[in-house]
Amino acid sequence: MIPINILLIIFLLFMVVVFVFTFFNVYHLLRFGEARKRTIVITVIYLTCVTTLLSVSSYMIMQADWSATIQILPTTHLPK
Amino acid sequence: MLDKSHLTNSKPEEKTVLFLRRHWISIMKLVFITLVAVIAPLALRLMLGYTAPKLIAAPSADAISAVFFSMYYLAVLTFFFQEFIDYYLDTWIVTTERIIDIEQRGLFNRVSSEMHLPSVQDSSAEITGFLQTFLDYGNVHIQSAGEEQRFVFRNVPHPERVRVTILKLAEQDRLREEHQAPAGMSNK
Repeated sequence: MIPINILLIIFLLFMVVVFVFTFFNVYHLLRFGEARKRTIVITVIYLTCVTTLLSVSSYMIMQADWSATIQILPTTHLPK
Repeated sequence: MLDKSHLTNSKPEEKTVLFLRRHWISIMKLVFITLVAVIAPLALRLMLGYTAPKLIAAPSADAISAVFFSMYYLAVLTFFFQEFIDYYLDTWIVTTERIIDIEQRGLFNRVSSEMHLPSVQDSSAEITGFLQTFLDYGNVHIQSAGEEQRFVFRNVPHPERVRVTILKLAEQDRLREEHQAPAGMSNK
């Protein structure tokens, strides 16, 4: 039996990857994108979407019951 | 940022004539794939609600699905934006002096190439298939005088118009250079 809050560690690691990708995507857009309002609008929309998704995720994760456990291997009952 | 009116290494009289990206149909395919990716887990959850309700009602189901959905949708968003940037940063710029080909290949790979107009030898437009014919987009191939150098504008709108424009600009640039040649050279 393992506690399911181990999934939070996996989620945290995934967040690090998402932040790295987000940073470089925004960097590329601002560094190499066309010097127009459109580029700024696209960047703002993307950051808004990421922030919204993270907020919703945080809310859903906080609502869940993390005290539960899950069984990885089935338990066998040997006859007496 | 890339300023169309102030390109790097530009000459004083240089003007941008064409600023091209791939046709919008390229991004529509991405949007469609993303929509399918967004709807799929919701459909799966709905299906599980009917076929395996005990699975969804399990005490750990809320926590697991919260993490799973969060990771999944963040991955979809990141993938979509990554592909969009690949589309948005791939540009072909035609000025009165040169052709610039900028290609973004993935996250850390960007290739910029330049070809001066006088070295343009040949240009061809390629429109293949029903969709390209109907929406008027396709590839433009530009052959230079160099050994194997060739630019390809992929899936650009109005390829025939682009081809004609490039050839006209190349001809005008050649004539301009001939007129500007030193007087001493023309007497030889």
